[in-house]
Amino acid sequence: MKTTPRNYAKALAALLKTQPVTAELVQNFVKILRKSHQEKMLNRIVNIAEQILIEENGEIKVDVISASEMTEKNIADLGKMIESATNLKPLISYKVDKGLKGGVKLRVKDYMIDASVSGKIEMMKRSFES
Amino acid sequence: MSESSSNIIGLLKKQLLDFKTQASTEEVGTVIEAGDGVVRATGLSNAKSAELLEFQNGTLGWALNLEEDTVGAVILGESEGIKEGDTVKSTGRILSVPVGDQLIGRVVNALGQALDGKGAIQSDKYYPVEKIAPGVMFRKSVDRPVQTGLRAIDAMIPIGRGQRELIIGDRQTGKTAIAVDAIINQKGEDMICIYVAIGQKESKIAKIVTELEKHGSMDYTIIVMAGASHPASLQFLAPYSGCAMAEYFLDKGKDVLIVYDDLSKHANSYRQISLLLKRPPGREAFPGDIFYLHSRLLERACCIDKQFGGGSITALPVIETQAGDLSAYIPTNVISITDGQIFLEADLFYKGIRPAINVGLSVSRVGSAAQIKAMKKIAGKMRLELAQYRELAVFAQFGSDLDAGTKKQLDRGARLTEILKQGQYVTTPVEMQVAIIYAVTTGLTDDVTVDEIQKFMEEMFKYLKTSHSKVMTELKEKKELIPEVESALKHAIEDFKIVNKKS
Repeated sequence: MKTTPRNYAKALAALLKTQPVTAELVQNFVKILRKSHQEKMLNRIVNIAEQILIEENGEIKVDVISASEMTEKNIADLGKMIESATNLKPLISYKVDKGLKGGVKLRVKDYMIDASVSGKIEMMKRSFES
Repeated sequence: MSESSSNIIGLLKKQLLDFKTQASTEEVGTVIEAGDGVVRATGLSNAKSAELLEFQNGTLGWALNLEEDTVGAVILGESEGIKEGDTVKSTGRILSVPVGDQLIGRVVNALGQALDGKGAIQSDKYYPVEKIAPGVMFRKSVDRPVQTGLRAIDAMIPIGRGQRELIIGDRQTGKTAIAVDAIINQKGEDMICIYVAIGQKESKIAKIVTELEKHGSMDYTIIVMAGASHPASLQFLAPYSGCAMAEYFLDKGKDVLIVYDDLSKHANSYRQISLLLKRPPGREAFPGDIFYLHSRLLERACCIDKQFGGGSITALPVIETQAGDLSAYIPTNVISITDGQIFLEADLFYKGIRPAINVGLSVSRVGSAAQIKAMKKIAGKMRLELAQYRELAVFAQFGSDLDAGTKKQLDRGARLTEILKQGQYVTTPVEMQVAIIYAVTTGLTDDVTVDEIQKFMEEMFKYLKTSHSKVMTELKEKKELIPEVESALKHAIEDFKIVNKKS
């Protein structure tokens, strides 16, 4: 039976909890993937493993897309808001997208919370069309 | 400011004030693979099967593969502009197409978008493309005919309203011609027609549209087009979209004739999508559910009982065979689903027998239940005479001395074969069909040579239409050869023979 990327990721996450990332570990892991012709899945496996480790550490990854530069205070306030809502420590990464016109978009796992001006204009457009 | 513009402004103000400005939450995923019309995305953990997805550039996708960590979707449109890393979101909707009377006379794609340049399709009603077929209790048996206007079909392989009759044959044997003639003959028959073109050349479809417009058939026809240059996803979707449009009219108690041209290309497009989605290939590399692809489509053709609204959908699926092989995978699948087949042979076509129908291999499982009484009375005799003719013709090739009775039978059979030949786009009303078949089977044309019977028939039609229109109208209305109508018809044909001899 073919091993799925999630299974590889679980194994990798379990390994990384007990030992540090070394060149030998990475080399052996890639060898295993190459043996089962799944080296193309490496990126996906690493992403899933990262997700697993983050969840096990009681953390949550949050991607913030903002229309303008955010100050450290803004980020900290946002982090507190997310922590109080989820009871998980947020790992915030953010980027600026002027196309949003204003407001922010938050990507948390499989959800996108759209509080941007461009999103609201789009909603308004759809509301008029319907 | 006029009253209407102040009303509009008032409505807009109200909409703006009612508009809620809270943040929206959407379920999203990330594209990890995109190409060849299919996409793999991570995330979308709550995506449902056949759910509509929306990509970052506004293109829609259809979730078909739900795997452990990924969702495989087909792109409903062009795949340019979709790349790895793009966000894709769930819409929470299943795929639907616009339906309604405004689609009649239009050429649309598999998503119901206009392709004929006559403006966008405005519709407030949408029907799902995938729907469970009506149950047994809603149906009734097929008992009303669909007159195709083709003498060979209406007499010997009759099609009823609510039936599925397969048109099968090699390339260039006249399959589409039969379907188009059937559509043309529905003028004035209170039938909506839908022609679904799957993987066809766009020049061919343009020609069909032109012919339908010339005969006034576009007044009751919808063309759903997923041509050869369209993505496989749209070719796969087209028959279901056409069926959804047909179901709108069915729900209103109307009769619909839908042509799927052709399901071989439909199967090929589904194979392409399935292989790209890495579904395991089966026989001839088709996926395991290739039968279900067609069975669930064709089961939606039905005849609904009057107490549930009446109406019917008659399906004419088309299948292209290779070298006349009826036992290939897809042909056998569709033959087992449909209520009969019209088998076209290349040999007959090249011999000049057009439509090139092999009467021996063709069948209508509904049979005479789908014929008017007048046709039922005379068609049985014709079928028998043709079968006897085919047997005798084989022996006659070897024998030179034939008795008078055998010669007479051979000539009668040859005349019947001649009258079943028909030109393209030239349909015959049912009352005229009854007249000519009656004339030949009762011996009224025994003094007409085989070479002259075609001309005799054409002249007889003109004569009966002009000089004995009352008889033909009565036959058309009563649909039965009662003694008075039969004797009036016999008298009319004998009159014509006298007039024809003089000229």
